[in-house]
Amino acid sequence: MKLLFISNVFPPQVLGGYELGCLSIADACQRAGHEVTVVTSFPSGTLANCGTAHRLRVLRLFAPAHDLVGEGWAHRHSAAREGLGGIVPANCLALDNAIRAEKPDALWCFNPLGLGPVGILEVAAMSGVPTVVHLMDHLDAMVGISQNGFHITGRWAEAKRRLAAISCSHATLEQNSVIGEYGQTAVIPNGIPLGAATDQRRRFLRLAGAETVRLVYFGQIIPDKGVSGLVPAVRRLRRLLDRPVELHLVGRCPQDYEAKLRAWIRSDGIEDSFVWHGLLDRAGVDRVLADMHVAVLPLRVDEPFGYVGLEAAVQRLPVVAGARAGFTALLPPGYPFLIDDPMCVDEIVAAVAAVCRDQDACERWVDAACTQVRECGDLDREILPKCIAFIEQVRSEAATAPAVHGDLGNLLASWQMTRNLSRLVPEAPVAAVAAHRPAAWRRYARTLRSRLRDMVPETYRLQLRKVTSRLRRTPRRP
Amino acid sequence: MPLSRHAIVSTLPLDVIGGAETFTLDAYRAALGGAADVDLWCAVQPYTETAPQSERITHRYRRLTAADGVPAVAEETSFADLLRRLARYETVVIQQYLASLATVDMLAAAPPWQRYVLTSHGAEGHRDLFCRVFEPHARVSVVEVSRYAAERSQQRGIAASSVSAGVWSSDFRDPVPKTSAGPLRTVSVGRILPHKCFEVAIEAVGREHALTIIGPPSGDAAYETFLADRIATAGSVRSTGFVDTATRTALVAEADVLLANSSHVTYTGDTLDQAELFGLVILEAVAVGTLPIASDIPSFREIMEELSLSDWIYPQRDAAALAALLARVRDMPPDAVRDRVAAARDRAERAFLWDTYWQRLVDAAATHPTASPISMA
Repeated sequence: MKLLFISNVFPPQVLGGYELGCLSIADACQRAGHEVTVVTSFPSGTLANCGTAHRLRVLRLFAPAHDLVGEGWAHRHSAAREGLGGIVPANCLALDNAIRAEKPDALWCFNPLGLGPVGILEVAAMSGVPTVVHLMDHLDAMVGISQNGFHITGRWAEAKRRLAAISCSHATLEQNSVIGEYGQTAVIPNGIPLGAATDQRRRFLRLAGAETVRLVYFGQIIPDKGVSGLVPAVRRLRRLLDRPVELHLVGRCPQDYEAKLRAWIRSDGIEDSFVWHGLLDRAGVDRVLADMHVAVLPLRVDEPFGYVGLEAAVQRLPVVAGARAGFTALLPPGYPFLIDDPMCVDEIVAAVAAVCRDQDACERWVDAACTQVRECGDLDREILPKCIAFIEQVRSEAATAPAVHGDLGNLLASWQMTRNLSRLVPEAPVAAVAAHRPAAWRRYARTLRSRLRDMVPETYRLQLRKVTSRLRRTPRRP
Repeated sequence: MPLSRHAIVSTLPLDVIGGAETFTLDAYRAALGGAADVDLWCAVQPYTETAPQSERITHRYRRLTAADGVPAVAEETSFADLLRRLARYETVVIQQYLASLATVDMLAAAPPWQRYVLTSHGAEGHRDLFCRVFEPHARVSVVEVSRYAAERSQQRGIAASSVSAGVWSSDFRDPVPKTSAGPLRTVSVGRILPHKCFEVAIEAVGREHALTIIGPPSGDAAYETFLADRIATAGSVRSTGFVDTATRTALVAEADVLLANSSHVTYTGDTLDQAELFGLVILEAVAVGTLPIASDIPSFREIMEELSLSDWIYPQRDAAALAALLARVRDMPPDAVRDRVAAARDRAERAFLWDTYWQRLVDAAATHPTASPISMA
């Protein structure tokens, strides 16, 4: 099959697991004999470099808005809002051209955030090419929260209705059914390529005597992933276990957050318990994991999947992680080290203590988890064939479905109108207004709440907290 | 509830009675007859201010049911919610599209496969801003209520066609000869607004004929006072104020002549860009067998010519010319007047029926987009 992958960014540039997931699936497709072309954006200097696409054909055609993603002003900067929840005309034209040139059998859309997701999905829906959106994040939440100066969630919902989706977990599908639903859906967990993976740990690494307990956290080192809770957890574990404890941190950490964490650790007097590895390549991560006793991965409250959990489990590490992360579907039923609230220090401490206390039981669970992930989570053997079967099903049904008669001119003209109008009748800058007028701030908060009203409560709270805290941090105008 | 395939959205409320509101309600009835699957939405309050989008989306809209001609509120929601829901319809018809910036929000919220039809009824508070913002495209059509209105749109740089309607086939009555003894019974219909020029009719009928002015007050106190003074000093002129549709139709049917006096120049000498985009009252008069006499404004001329009644047009604000036409009516045999009205009625049946309006609108929208399509991959 000739597949055209769509992704906001693509390795070596990544935002997180979504892009790495896209890379591993693209690689797996290539290994399975499919012809893969990836359409993505220009590299951005501010993004992490991780993973490489050696044999893949990658067309960097899109104009990205993701330099701003994650920055405090993302939701208020018009280009970022358009990239996250609206339309970027250049990207619509680029995708249309790519589809014309490549003539793929199917489109496989990964993270469209930053590319103007509404336009991307509309072009896909109008192209007549069977399209599957691979859901590994809460796209509806980001599209919904970015509606400021425009309000096109109806278009987003209508485009989704005309497309199919693969979701990496049931919870992720639920979170992506907030603003309309996809026409066809399948829940297929993410997998990891076990055939090609380095397998340094053949056996469970037992804690011996008074040996230092080595914990590892790997992935993005950001507050959203529950990292802040690890500092008090380590402090309490040192006392509780009455032996040295080390937490190894592997991954990219924003400078300001790293400074804050280091200051916090220093003020607690536990610098000797933290080992900073920085961003490592795949082999480097595996080398660190090989020496660890427990992977502590709180992850997001609403973590869509959590590749890191799968990677830890397959390396025979006990995984202390949020129970609602998508990857936990691949763990054996009753896996005892999952925690309900990844932000709760008590739960993290209790789970790590349970691992240390009963190493025999722990070994049994770790082996069972490793076996199950190897059986059910193998990307090449299990996961990709399911995805391809679903795409084939979408293709066969698309062949008989009525065509969507759209027009690229309409797509661009209707969007241009809202931009024209917003230039002539601009919105008041929220931060500036908020800094000076508390009443206006409260009104904005109410508008925001009503915009998020339909979201799944967890995402709603998370997004609201993020945005309001950004607003509070916005410096006052002189 | 299941969603209808089509929607008609009025950017102004429909709880006041005027030609534009009547047109919108009749368009809804016509759509129900033609497509049997349409929702009617209207703004709860008129909003003419140039507010930013974050404020516009907080305005309230109502879904109405008005199948029997009487609007009733089925639900009320925010404009933000309406925008979300509009994307599901196949076709959205916006009435009074120049009255509010909500039109731009709706067009921006339209998926590229959705068809939009824009119609103005004369409320043009955001005309200039709309023209600066509008980007023509293949699934948006401007279908105005008259050729004159369409030409005005062309002059603004927006391609437009027109589909007119004003009478239901069930409204037609066979014209009968009216008694000619004594003074003519004339009637003039419309809200008490300066551009309706009721004072010209009062002056023309003088003390020779009777005049009944039918229409609700408009809130223009100065003109209402001016008109009240004129009525008080006139011979046999009376004003009914607001009357229901049945009473209005009966009064028009009883009259010998309907006077449509609108002008681009008001009683104070102020000039208007346009007085009327259409002339519903002319068609209503013909339907009930009453001869219309109309002032020479483009929209009235267009209808009168279509009805082959162009010899019953008089120059705007020319009371003497109107008086001469009234004298001519009085001197005509009743059968001759009836024959002219009967011929006009036949023409109205061909060109202005509500019964065929929806299909004509859909056809015009499909064949006259504001721009050519751009093909997709």
